Amino acid sequence: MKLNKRLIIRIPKRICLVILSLMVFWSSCGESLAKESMAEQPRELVFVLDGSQSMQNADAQLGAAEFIRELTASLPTNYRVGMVVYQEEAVMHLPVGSSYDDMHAALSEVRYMRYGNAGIGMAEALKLFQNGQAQKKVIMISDGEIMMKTEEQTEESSNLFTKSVAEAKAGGVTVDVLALGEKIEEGETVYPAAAATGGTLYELENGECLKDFAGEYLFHELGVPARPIGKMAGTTGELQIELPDCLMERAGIILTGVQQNENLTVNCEADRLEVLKGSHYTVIRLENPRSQKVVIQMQSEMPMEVDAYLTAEYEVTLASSHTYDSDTQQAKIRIGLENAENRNLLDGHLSKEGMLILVNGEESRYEAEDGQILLSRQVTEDETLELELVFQDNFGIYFGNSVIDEEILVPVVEEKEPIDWFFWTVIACFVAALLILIIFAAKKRKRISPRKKMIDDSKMFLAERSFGGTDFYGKLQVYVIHNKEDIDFPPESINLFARCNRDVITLEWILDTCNIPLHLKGADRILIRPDDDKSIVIKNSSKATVMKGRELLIRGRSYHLYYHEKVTFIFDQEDAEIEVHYKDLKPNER
Amino acid sequence: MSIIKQTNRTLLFEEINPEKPDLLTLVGDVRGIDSLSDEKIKEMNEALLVRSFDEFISKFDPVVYSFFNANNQKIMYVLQKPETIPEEMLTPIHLNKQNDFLKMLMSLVEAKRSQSIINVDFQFDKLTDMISPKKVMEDIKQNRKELQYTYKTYAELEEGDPHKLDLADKLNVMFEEASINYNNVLAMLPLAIEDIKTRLLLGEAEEQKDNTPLALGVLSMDEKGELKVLEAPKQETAELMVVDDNVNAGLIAALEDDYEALNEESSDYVKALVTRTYCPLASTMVSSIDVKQEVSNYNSYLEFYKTAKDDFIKVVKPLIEKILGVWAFFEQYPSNLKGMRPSMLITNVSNDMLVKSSNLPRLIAFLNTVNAKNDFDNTVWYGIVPSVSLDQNSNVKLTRQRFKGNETTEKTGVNSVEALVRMLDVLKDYSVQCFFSYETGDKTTFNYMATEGIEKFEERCSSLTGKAYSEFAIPCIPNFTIIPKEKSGVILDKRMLVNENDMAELSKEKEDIMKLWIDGVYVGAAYIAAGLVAAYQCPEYLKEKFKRNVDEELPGVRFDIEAGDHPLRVHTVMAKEITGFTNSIKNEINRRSFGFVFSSENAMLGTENVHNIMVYKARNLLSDGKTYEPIYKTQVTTYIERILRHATSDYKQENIVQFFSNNPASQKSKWLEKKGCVNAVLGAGDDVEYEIDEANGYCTLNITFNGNVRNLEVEINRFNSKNRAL
Repeated sequence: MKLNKRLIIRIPKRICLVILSLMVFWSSCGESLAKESMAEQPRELVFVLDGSQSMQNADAQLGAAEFIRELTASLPTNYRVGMVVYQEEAVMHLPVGSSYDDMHAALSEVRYMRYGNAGIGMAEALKLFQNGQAQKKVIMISDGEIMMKTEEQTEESSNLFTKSVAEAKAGGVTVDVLALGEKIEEGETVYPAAAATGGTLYELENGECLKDFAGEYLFHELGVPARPIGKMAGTTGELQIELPDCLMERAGIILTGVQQNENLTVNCEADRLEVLKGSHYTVIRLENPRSQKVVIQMQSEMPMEVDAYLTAEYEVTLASSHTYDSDTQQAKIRIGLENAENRNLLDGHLSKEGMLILVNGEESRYEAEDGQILLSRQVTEDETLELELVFQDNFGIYFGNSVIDEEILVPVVEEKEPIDWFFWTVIACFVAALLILIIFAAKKRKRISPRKKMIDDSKMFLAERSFGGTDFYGKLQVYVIHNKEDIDFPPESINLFARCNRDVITLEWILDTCNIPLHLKGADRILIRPDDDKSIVIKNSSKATVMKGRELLIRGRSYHLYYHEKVTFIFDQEDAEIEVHYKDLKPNER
Repeated sequence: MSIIKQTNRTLLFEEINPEKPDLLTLVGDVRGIDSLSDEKIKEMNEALLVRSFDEFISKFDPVVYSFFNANNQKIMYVLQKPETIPEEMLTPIHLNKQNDFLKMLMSLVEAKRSQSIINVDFQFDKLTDMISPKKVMEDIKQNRKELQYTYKTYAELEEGDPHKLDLADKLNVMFEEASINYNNVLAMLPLAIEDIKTRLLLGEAEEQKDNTPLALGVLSMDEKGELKVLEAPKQETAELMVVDDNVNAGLIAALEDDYEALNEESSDYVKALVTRTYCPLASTMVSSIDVKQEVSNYNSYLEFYKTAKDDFIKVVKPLIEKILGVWAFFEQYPSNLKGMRPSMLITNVSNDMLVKSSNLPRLIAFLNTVNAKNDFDNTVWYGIVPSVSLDQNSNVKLTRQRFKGNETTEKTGVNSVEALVRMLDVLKDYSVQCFFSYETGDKTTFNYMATEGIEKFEERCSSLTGKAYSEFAIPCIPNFTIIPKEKSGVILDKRMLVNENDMAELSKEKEDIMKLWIDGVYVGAAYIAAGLVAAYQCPEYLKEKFKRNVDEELPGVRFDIEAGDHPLRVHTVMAKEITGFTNSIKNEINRRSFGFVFSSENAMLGTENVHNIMVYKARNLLSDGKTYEPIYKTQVTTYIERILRHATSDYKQENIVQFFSNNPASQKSKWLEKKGCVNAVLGAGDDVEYEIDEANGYCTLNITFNGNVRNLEVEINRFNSKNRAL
């Protein structure tokens, strides 16, 4: 009896210790889900150059070629460029993704002659685009006129041009038209393409103006971030540049303006250095710079008029973790930023320069501590926070994830209760009796059905697994009933059986797997996990409305979905409505 | 048969008349519901289910709308009712058995069937001239005579005579029928054409032509007894015929009044035309003929009629092919049999609309109601998707047109393969076997297949093989030809001209022959394949074909149409089209046993020649890597699954054991008893065994077809009495 009494006292103490330790410091090892949203999107640019005889008047000095070269040299790596040069036919095609050298070589061959079939030019340009997801733009350089040998041909070309422009519009391609020379008031022209596709029409006096226009177009129209870092005027000049840090993947120094294409010295340290020069530009590309100091010297016989700009490209990897204090209900979230070489980006200019942190879309205060970003937030119940970094410097381009999810689980504090020994003894007896009954029943059944066939080993293996745990079975059929753009997405099917693991999946994952490009807010907070009896469990923590049959699923509660049942997800003001049917798999579908 | 009363309901995926209810509209919003109510299914059956061709015509009332375009002086035809055109400006043309074009096509099939002549020898022009003005006129002449006679009797009776009122009623009906024609100038054209022709060419003898103008005379003898035809004095003639003219004057007045009452903007010319068309021929009222004017009218009517008919045929052909498809489907089952008559449910909505992601849940909800219950009265067993696009990429090759070639106009109503895939993906979940055929035209006929083989079709199906739904996809080839393209010319008539004697005569120049081209009419093979398979599901149909060894209770689910003499006995009702396929083509078909292939071969059943098109292969797209599977295996599997589910109260384990036990009362024993029947569910060499996987709760059925095993897995319902007791 004495022993029993001591035991009774000890057990609560242990429980208390565990609960206390949990209350004081709940450290989460919950996984953070980094989202695949790129800070910078891939972009595709196709230059369409009018190579007809009439261009000779507007651009005798081939300023258009220089303009294209400068843009190709200066654009950051998320831009991929291609080119079409047209006369009566498309005489030159360079696929999207062509290098500066390819473009340079091709542009040296360009001569203005024959008639101009802008229709073919535009149609060919549209064929060059490759990436369906990329932002696409066509830059059309022409004197504006569509002119062929006969009236019929001109009309045909004009019709093809109008058709291609409509196609471009439908495909989300914008067309900027750089019109050289005097504006043509009569006949067929290429001007309307800009307005029709949401692009801009620039009217320039002649090809010479294009050379000075490149910088403006690059920084203002294309919006490439760049920081002015100096100016050179006169016949000699030295530019001493201090890079903001050495953590970038690539740095670019763009010298644009009138200059002589000779006598240039660059002093710096980097893994790789490349200098691209033209009559109106110099671009110095540094890969992984090792020292912050860059010195550029230029000499010229003619007076120069050069503006210098800096661009930098960073690869960002985010990682987050958190600790939770049950007493104060405060979660401390730490975010680490690293570049591709695992060096801490907060050691560089980001520690000083502006950077915003948005938590669930709202700006939040933060501190830099131990090379990490530290946030505090009051959390009272389980919550998934969406952390987003917004970089505010004016020269950096950031690739990688800028958004990360952090799931914070609030520990459940159980109240200690005295153990009711009588109750547990009754339960134990009941379980024992039940076990005996089951064994007895199983034996009896064995006796009743003596003929039992061999079962395939592989099936046995599956059976054991499914019986013991909760794997996914069946398949999901996804139907997009309605979406904002009224696009008819084909129905998609996801075989869950093939997943064979017990990870929780989200609606966002489902849409992603089905290649349905709907970015629905909160889709990542609709969780689906496998459960017993080949069912799945749906838990909605988002603001979306979820219906199963006529029943509305309450937020934060879990619901079972069995074979041949369906759920409907309705997002913000009926922006999108998605139906997911859960079905079993036929043997030949596995 | 006591559990499953029908195994041949067919779902046709086609739009017939957009004005009639369709599947999507009737199903309605399915948000939050998985299935439909019994009332809804009843309503759908009332609107969309047909059991015969006549019922189809009366329920769906296929119609073409015509209206006049003053700008180009043409008649426009559309299949969709134009919403912006006021009702009174539209003339609906109902495509029923009375429609001359449809009537002509159906007569063609029947004539070919009774004559058993292949396409190359068949005199198509004998029947195609049924749409020429001459034939139309023959039909109407009878009515006109009757009208004249009735009016005459009516006019002669006294006022107040009760019989006069009866005749007035009769006349009202006749005027109503006639008014259908003179309300519609187009319908009146063939009459006017023939009428002018008759009046102008009156003096033209059949054998030889006299160039003297006609002057009516009397036969008499002169003083010397010489026989002479003297020109009849005009005054006398007028007096003699005055009674007749009174009658006709009354009729003309009645027609004129009726025409004016019905047409707000009546023109004198049309009014005259109406009266002239319906005025009896014997009348002398309109005795003066302006030959030049009449000839010019005749030519312009003929020209107009040709253009109108041409445009009509172009527009109506796709719809006519659908109607003929439905007709051919029902034709496969003899009308005198009263057994398990095939029934057809028509979606009446375009497939592009049906397979939209937002609409598919409606189709699913419908199939879930009819196919996923233990009530099989409304179960859909087959689907028909005709006119699947044959071109992988519809981009027209840009070649310069040196000569006027075929216009590669975009064919409307062609189903894309993507739409078919979306449908198959749904149909497979409900075990609906889907017969599909390629778009009609001269590239999918027997003739084409006999020269080009089946490679193109097999290649086109490659994207549908190796998929979960392959088992339910049945490609049917080749399509059936009603009129071949090259023999589809119809000679309407010849132009008329005025000769040097101011007389009208028909031109003999070749370019003056008015001819229109129907450009080939075809029927999708899927209709006939589904119709035939649906027909042989009926035990009485099989009984008629085999006479003995047919069980009256069992459906023909296991009937293998490829086996033994089965294709010779159970064949289509369509007549042979070609002399046959060459051996190399047949080897190509046999190599992988591809598709549901029809053959037009010489064959003999006993001493009797078979003149009809037969089934050569009946396979779906499920392949074991070497050959494709016969369609009956899929249907037997589905049938057993449904019977098993019903008999075992949704797969209760104890009932499954009972179902397969050796007890003579078990279902398996009953089936095995009838092994020798043509329509046995388990035939000779067949067996069905089961394995119960208790750990997973599955029951696997191993259905053996002649040594080949097919697996079917069902989930056991474990909530049985024993579980409950625990």
